[in-house]
Amino acid sequence: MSLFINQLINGIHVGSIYALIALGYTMVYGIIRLINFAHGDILMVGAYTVVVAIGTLGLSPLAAILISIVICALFGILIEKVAYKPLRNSPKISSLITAIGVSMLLQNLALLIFTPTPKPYPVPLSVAPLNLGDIQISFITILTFGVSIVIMMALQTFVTTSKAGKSMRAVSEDMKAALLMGINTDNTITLTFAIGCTLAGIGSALFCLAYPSVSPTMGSLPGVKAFIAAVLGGIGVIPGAMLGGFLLGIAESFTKAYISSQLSDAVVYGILIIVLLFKPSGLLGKSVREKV
Amino acid sequence: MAKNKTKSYALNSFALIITFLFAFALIASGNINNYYSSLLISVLIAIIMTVSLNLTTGLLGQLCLGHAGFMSVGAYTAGIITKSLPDMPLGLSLTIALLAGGLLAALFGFLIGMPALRLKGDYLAIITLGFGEIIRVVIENLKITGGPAGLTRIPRMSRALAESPKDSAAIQFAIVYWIMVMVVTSIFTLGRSRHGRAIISIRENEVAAEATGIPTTYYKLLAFTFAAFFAGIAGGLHAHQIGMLTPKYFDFNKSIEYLVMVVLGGMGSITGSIISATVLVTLPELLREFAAWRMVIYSLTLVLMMIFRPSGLMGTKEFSLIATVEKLEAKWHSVFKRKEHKPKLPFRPHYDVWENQPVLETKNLGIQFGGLVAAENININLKDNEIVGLIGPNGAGKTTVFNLLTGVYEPTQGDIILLGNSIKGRPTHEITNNGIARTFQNIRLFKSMTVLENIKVAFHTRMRYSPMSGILRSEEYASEEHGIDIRARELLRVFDMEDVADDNADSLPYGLQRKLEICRALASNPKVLLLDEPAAGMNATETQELMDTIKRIRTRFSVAILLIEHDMKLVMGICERIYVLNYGHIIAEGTANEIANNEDVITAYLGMSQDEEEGTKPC
Amino acid sequence: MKKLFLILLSIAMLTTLIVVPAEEVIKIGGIGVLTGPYATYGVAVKNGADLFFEELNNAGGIDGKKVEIIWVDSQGDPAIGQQAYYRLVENDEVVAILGAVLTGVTNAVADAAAEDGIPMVSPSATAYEVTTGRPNVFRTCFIDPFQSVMIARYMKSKNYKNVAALYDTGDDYSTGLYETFVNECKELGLNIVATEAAAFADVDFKAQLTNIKNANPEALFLPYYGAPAAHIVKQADEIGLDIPFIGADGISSITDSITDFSLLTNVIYSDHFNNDAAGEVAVKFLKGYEEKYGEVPTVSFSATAYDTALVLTEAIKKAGTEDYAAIVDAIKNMEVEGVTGIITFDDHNDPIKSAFFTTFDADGNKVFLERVDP
Repeated sequence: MSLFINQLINGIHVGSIYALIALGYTMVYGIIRLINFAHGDILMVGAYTVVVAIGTLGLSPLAAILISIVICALFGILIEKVAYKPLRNSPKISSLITAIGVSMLLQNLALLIFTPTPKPYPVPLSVAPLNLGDIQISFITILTFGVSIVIMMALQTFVTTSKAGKSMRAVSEDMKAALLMGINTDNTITLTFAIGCTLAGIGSALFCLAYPSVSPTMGSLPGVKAFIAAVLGGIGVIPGAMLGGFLLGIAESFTKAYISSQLSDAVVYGILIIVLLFKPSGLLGKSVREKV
Repeated sequence: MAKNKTKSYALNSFALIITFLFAFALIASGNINNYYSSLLISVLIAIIMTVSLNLTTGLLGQLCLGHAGFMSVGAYTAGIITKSLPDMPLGLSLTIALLAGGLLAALFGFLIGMPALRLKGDYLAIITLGFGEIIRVVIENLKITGGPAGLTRIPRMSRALAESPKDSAAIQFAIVYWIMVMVVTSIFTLGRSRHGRAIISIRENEVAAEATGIPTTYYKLLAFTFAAFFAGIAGGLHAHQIGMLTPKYFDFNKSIEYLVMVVLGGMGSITGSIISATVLVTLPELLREFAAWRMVIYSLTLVLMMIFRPSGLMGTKEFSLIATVEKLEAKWHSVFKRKEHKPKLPFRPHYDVWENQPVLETKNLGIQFGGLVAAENININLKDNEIVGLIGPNGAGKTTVFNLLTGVYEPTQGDIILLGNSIKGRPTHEITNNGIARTFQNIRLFKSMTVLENIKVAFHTRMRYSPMSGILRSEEYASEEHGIDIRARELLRVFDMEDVADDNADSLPYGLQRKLEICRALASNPKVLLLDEPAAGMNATETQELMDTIKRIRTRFSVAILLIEHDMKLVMGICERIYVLNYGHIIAEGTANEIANNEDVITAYLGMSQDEEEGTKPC
Repeated sequence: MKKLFLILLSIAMLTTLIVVPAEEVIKIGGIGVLTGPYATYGVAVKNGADLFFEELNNAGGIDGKKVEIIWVDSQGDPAIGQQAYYRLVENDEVVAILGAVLTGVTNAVADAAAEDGIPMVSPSATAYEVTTGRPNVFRTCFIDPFQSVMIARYMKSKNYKNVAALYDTGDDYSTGLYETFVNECKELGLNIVATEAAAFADVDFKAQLTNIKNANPEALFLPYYGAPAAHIVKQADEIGLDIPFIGADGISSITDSITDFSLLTNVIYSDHFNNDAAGEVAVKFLKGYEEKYGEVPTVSFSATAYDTALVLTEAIKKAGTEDYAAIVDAIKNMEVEGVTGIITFDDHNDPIKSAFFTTFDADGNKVFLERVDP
């Protein structure tokens, strides 16, 4: 039984991180119907910022992390303005290809600048784990879970009650109508990217605290999995990203623990395919019919 | 026409053979060393992969992110087969291996396509990515494929095909070259046949394609399966070029590499794909000092291309040897003599119409979306050659009724009878073939196709020749294509559009676009024509013209017409009967006069002032 | 004025052609993964080889001729690696191949090299079958089966009865080591109480480690490279799994990826050599490396690459000609002292070497444990 609970805790830990990153995907998709392939690489940008901030600039870990979160948000805004905005009215296929291009660009620039040798994440964190009988919960797990939940609740509140949040929801429902209502769609979209990438920045810090190795391609795999989590929960739906993240993390953990660790990747992609085939709008999403 | 084609064949074949002989001789004599010859092979294989991907992503317009997966299936299958037949001469075992690899890859393409192609756009791209990754993971974990270490000691074409290495390398070149030629030509000719038209029409406007009679699911699967087949063959060739395979080679990045080639060359342009594949394989070799920058430049190019020149190098155009030559010849020759064989005119369905029986009728037709009842108890009928109007305030459900009649929606209530047969639940393209054609509220033309091609798409199901015939340009192909060319131009003449036949559909002025849509609908030889707001956006003169056109059509083509309109002058002017729809129910039925004086109708069009009321009455 | 200048320039160029004789150079081809995610290994190899040739050329080269190593990046892609091979052999006319680095690429290159008979020595391809049936292909690193056998014996020598294994199913290095380990354990009577696997590029191993902890093994076999091994060690510590982790040469770079070195005291691995238990050549290598590159080599392939360069040089010297077959013969019969000990090749063209079991102290320095001979 305690084994089961330990595996469950593992799953929740991983799931929290997926959820945070998935939120970024889902917010961007919700508002401009674009799968931001480069989102996972923002994780990497945040991590390297911390490395540089502490290593070269000698800042304290806390300051470095805060700066990295800001840098992530700025990167998000930059990418949106330079690469995605010009293609807002182009066919979907163009935006998708551009997103792939941006992702590759980030990874390869990082390879060039930082070399492929992984660098350790320079934030030491040694706090004793919590022991409940047979069950051991590390401090980072508690921190990750706690921060994720708080942020998600804050985000949900923001989106439902604040003016900016309402603008975001309006633009994602119908951009043209929102424009006609006097909403500055450009700013709203910029804000969405900023928030999404801020979340990725926070996710990056939590990810690196748990897995302290920084390399140029580190964001790929978590990015893809977080994306699958977003699709699972319902892409474009904020609670969906949270639900999807946790579900995927737990599914992954249990697959590794009880079924086969070899095939955990295949299982994750399998989940993606099953969702897309049977309920492409995801668990919490609504089906949208194409108007003929 | 035939003379043109023969000339084209001759010229193209000549060019291909000369190139081949030249290169073959150089390799066999050793003047092209192993380095250049293996680079050449890599280029040829990349061309096959790029052109096959162009079939799905360019011609069909569906972004596929797992193409390397099909390549890997073909590669491993072929490698396993030749390795298990060591005593057979490589030429023979290779043939078996390549075919088997291609067929297995095609099977995978089919199996993946079936569920995947139900999705659109982003979702389709993602699911192909998922499948590509799953194939890779499975290959990595199987014993027969060698697991993560991969398959080694696959006989290499550059040594195992002949005693002398030079001869072997030359034969390797011959094999790969001619396979490349076959693949490229097949895709090229398929693209120019009625099947290619069908595929392209799906890319242009899937809803319209389905409504014009194209079985879209069939063609999506066809394109996908063909593309997978060719990718499998390319994989098999790759396996026997390098001599070993690792699962990591065929990952997402490899799929992206080929996607970059397709995008750069122009999605839909075969020539573009050939050029970009050649450039992108050879350039990194020449610039090896900048290897670290290669991927950065690639990704940057991708992004910049999409922003500034999304159509790629060649757009959707092709370079044609014959076109260049013809332009020169046209200067001092007159028009070539036409046909030498009999054109085969498209099959014209015969409709059995009984006296006094409606050609189309609905029985308590209705549809419910969840809790919302969009239409209920719709009972309408259409007699032969009648012109009937369907009017109602905005949101009344008029287009919904059209969608029900054409199978876009499946009714949750009631039935639809066309010429005595129930068509409820049938797919749209079948309904079109059985005699109902329609136009759309927002014009749905195949924008990048010419006017003539738009019409030709509609003749698709009235033709018989198979994809093979299209690829091989058989007699059937030539005579049927000639036949629809005649019919299509005839049709355009009726509509006074023959002079714009070769213009792109999206270059036409609005009024002509609407006319084209109607013309296209008529090309499928319907018995019933549904027109959805044909006068939208037209001024008084154009509307009058349209009214005349509709009356002419009814007589000349012997069709019954049901039209949705807001322009009361048109409705009152040509409709023999009118149905009025409000909130999904028929609230009135009768002649123009009866409707104009009907209390319910007037109330339904709420908020009408005295002036407006008067404006709707026929004078 | 312009014309005069051009004439003078042409004369100057022509005179250089006459006056300065073309230098005779012996060219060796180097193929390695220099860009992309695995570049760390390729760069380490390049560093080691380049260091050797620089020292060699400074000392006069081979009989007065300088040795030039021409590097071509394989990008980790077997097809590109093979292409690189052809370029080096056909266009640059090299006399030997140093490389490749990754097993997959090496296989592809070796296939072509075997056809041509050119001497080829890899410093890092550890899969057994790379040299099978290829008389002109050699390697200076251990083969996977050898390391696993040594590790199993080491575990036996410490009287462990129950052990566990965690390996990477997407990596041929890891799976190769794992499979031979399992076979050797059967021979030695070691009980494998838990086997877990992880997918390539995974960073979370808690699920697997939890299962392993549950099975109570006395040691964990960890055939991983340094970066993922760092994650494993950290996460094992988090869940309270406190047993020795024993791995192979890939672990040597673990210090690049971890900040808490105290966790490394549990880690033991088999290496090609050790900075401490070093002979004369090793000391020279370490000193030279630090001088040239400003840091201590972390990836042991730098050492094997240095040795590879040494082997090729000695063979060319011995053969006295640039004839492929003669050089291959010289390698076959070679016995030379390198950084990693005495190098000599067996019938399978694999080096007969010892394994140096190494661990770490709390500051991340390598600590030599013992040497195990074959």
